[in-house]
Amino acid sequence: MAGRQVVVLDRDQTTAFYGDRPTTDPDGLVREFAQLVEDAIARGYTGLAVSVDATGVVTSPADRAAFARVEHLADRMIRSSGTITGMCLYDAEELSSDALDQLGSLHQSRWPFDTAFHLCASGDHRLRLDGELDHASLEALDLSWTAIDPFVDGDAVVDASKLDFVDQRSLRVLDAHAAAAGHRIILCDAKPIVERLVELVDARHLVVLNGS
Amino acid sequence: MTEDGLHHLAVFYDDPAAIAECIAQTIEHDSRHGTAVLVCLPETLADAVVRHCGPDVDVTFLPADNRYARPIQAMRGLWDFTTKALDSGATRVHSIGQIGFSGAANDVEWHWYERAVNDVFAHLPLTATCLLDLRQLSPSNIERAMATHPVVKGDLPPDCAVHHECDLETLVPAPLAVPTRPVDLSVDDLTDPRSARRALRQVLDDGHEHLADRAQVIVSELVTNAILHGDGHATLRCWTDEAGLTVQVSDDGPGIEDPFASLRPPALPVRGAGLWISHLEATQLSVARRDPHGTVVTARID
Repeated sequence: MAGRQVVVLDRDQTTAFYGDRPTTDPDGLVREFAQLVEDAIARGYTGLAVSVDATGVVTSPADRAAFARVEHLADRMIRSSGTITGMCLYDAEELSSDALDQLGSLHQSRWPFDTAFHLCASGDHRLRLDGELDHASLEALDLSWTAIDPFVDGDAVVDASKLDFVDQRSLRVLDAHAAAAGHRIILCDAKPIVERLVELVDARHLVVLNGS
Repeated sequence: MTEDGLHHLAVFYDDPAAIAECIAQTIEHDSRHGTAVLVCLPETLADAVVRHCGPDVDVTFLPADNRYARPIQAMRGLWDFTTKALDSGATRVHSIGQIGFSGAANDVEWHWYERAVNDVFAHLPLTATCLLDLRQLSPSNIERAMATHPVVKGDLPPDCAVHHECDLETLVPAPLAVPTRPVDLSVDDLTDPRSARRALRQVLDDGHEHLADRAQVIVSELVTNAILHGDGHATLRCWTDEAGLTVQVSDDGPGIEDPFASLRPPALPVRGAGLWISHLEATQLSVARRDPHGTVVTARID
């Protein structure tokens, strides 16, 4: 890096920065971050590292659902740009473990105590579903999938190569999302047993593709 | 049984050529009247039926060896065909099959399957015709088949020692036995399926990796059921041997009322699919009541 510049906002300033934009204009909010990256590079920096304490904007379920969309859009931007890194901070003293699990699942990793699964952006407009999905994670999966709205471009393509476990209830939740959207979820490179389970629960909106 | 619901027939025969011709005529009649037909017979009998059928007959043949390998697979085959045919506009379904009763101890599982068919398909427009080859059947199997089918056709040989009396309550499969030696894994008070899978991994990593995916699905589904339908806690036991593993999941809940639970297909959203999937993925599976209350599900995974 040619030089370093650090801008620090406290939690109140951060909350004020976000305002109601997670609900009213999540795309515009993420575009603003993208603009900050471009500005930083134009000024000779190699990229932008953002570390945000977003606890103040996720205290209610509705706020969390709205911010989850921001998290996903930011995740996609981070994946595609290669010039921005992000670290989101959430105060474990103020948020429930369910809330932390839901937010954690939308990031590439969580520290400490990793979440059971991650639903993140991958390359080529794909999603990545990693970890383990079962009855205990059903609600988080449902909320996360709803928040990220992955059917914008039609069928949702998901890299499932690191999906270590998925139960039939979770597959039915995914199938219901796809059915409601009128699209399919393409699970790429999932284990053979996932294909069998999809068939056994007659999940007609899920497709398992291997060697993709 | 209603007029429009299940017709479950046992048809005894001892002349394959004659029964093949009779079946062919039935199939031709059904296919002209909007009935979807599924035929699952031993190869020679199926070939004879094909020879008698006209060229335009719409009928689905399934290999008997595959569908009748296990009662759960037979149930799945009949359920899938029936529901999909009705969804596709068929007014009625006719399944014609022949179970190969062998005289072995597991014949009772097939008689139990026949009882489950009476219950599972009671209100669906299905005719299930079960052919029974008198040349191969023991008197006790004839007697039991007569008891499990509401309608019986065909002439029994005069020297057939059948008393026409069979206590249906004796036709209950015994629960799977577990090894008498100490368990290789025992976990009490499980409150989430992930902990059960993590514990199971310890024994799977010791030479049973090839069974890992199936075992994880079975244990996870059974533990989830025990937590949701029991008292919120599950107990997992596991025994391993060279061929595979035996797992047992139990709970202290009220117990399963449905005697045919392990063979009942999922009908969403009313009934879940966990037990159904576990049974299909396991090599063997049994459901029993736990004394004094609760449920014990035992699965063998080879």
